[in-house]
Amino acid sequence: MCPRDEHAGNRDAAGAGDLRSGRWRGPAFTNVSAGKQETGHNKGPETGHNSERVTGNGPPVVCLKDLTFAYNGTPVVERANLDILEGDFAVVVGPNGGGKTTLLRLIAGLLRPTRGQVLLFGRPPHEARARIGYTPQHLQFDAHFPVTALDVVLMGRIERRFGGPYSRSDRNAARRALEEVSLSDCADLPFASLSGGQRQRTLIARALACEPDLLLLDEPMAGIDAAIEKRLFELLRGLNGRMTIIMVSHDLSFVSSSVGSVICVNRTVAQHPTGEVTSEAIRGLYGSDVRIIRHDHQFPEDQHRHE
Amino acid sequence: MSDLLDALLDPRVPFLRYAFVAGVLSSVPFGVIGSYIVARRITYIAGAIAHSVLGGIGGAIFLQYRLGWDWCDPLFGAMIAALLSAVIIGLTTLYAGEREDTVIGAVWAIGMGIGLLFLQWTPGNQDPMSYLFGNILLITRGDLWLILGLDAAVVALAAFFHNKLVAVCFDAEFARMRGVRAEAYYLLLLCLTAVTVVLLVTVVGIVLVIALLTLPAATAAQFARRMSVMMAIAVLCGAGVVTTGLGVSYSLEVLSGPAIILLSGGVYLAVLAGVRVRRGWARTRTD
Repeated sequence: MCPRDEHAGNRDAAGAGDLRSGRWRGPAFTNVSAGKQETGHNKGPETGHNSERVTGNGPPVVCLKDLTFAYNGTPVVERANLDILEGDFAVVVGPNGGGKTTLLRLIAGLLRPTRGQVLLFGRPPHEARARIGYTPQHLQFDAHFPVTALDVVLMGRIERRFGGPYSRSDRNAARRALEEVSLSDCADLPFASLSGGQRQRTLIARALACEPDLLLLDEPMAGIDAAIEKRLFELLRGLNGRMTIIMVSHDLSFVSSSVGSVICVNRTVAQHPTGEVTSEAIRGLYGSDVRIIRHDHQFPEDQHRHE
Repeated sequence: MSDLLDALLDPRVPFLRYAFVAGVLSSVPFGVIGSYIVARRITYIAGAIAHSVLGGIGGAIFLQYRLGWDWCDPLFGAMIAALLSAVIIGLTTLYAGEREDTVIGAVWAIGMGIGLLFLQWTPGNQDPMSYLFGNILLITRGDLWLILGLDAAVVALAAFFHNKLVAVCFDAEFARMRGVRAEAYYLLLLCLTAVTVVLLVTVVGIVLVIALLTLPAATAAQFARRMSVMMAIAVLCGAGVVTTGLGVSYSLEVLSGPAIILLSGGVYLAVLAGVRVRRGWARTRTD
């Protein structure tokens, strides 16, 4: 599907070498920040630690081809090339305003690319949406909306009937999804009365009710305390056994060895396998990333605030 | 009270019976659509639609007078204006990226302006007061059939698409991702609101519409965990305040619109206070 896959492997090895020697501002990353996206930086996770999970059959789950998105003439994501293979657990990181959420929304088909292409399972997003589960941030919801947790989960089945009530199989699927996120006891409680972590799990259950092959999560850990965050992450790791996951995160502390690949987004997009990457190294990357961008006079300073 | 019952059963004063039937019938769409409006927080869209209705009423009366179009009933004009406003507000906010509150304000004021001009150009004593504040006691037997028909249409559509409307109100983006045409359902909701508003105008008049559309639903929201429950309570609450208000209006010889609104406002505030006091009490006991 994406012809540049073929020579991704050897460049990958060079990239990993850079990581190990701690030379984060090596040529690879500078190129990325300068917007000269080259094919070699798009490394599939096949060279990472989780290669045994990758089947390699069929097209990649997500394939971005020269993807550019501009908002009012300002590029937010620029010339992104990326493959995410089946079974990957990809974490999208980068500074605030760097385009993480935009990238996720482009993949989800919620935004139209200015240029380039998004392919999910080899097809445009709107044709593949039955196989995608999408989880927005729990903080964006109206705290007074009168729905129960089960009502919210059932919305994952909304497109299956034109009108009338949900079917029995929809209700069963919704209850199974709630059970999977350990929220069966909360099914009939108002969504508004749940804690942040419970709301986030309800939204994940809603995505699971879609029976997806690809799960997209936008900052699922936002506004959630550390203990709950750990459990949420365990849940996602469990789900990763049967679906590909792409998760936007502002927090890198848990990335280390637990995920398949890290996608760094700061207007441009670069993918790194995490097999050899320690959390300190990623922090270093993150920091140098921001420093490089601050020297980039194409952008106003205030768009690159770092938490 | 027995006076009221006598009057209700008296064949010589059908208008009071019609008013009661109209009030109870229209409580159903008020409660159902009102719940969506409160949950989705689009009260002011309903307000703008209601006020723009005067433009349609004025236009219809003017055409009746100038061109002798007898079929051009004020209610017909009201319906056209309400649907037009709903579509304008919906399309401009969904697609043109205009600020919602600006569009709402514009539709609100322009509709009123058009209506007042048309009323001025129509000779005779065209008093806008009866449209602004309503007079349910003017309802005829023919109006009842119309109200019943509109009732049935609104409730049938809202019931059939209930899950889609709730999903779109709760999270339009997610619905869109699932392949649901969220914009179309939002426009459907605004059009249902428009029809409901026209029904309401006959009961309480233009100015008081927002109150009767939202107060019963807001009262219900204090108890309800789900949309369907909220709707049921809102319908009962609406029917209660409309009939009681009519009774008070007849017994005390006051205007029906304000009597109904003050009653529903009183119920809402009392319930709000009751819920707060009980919560506060529960908190002090658990502390």
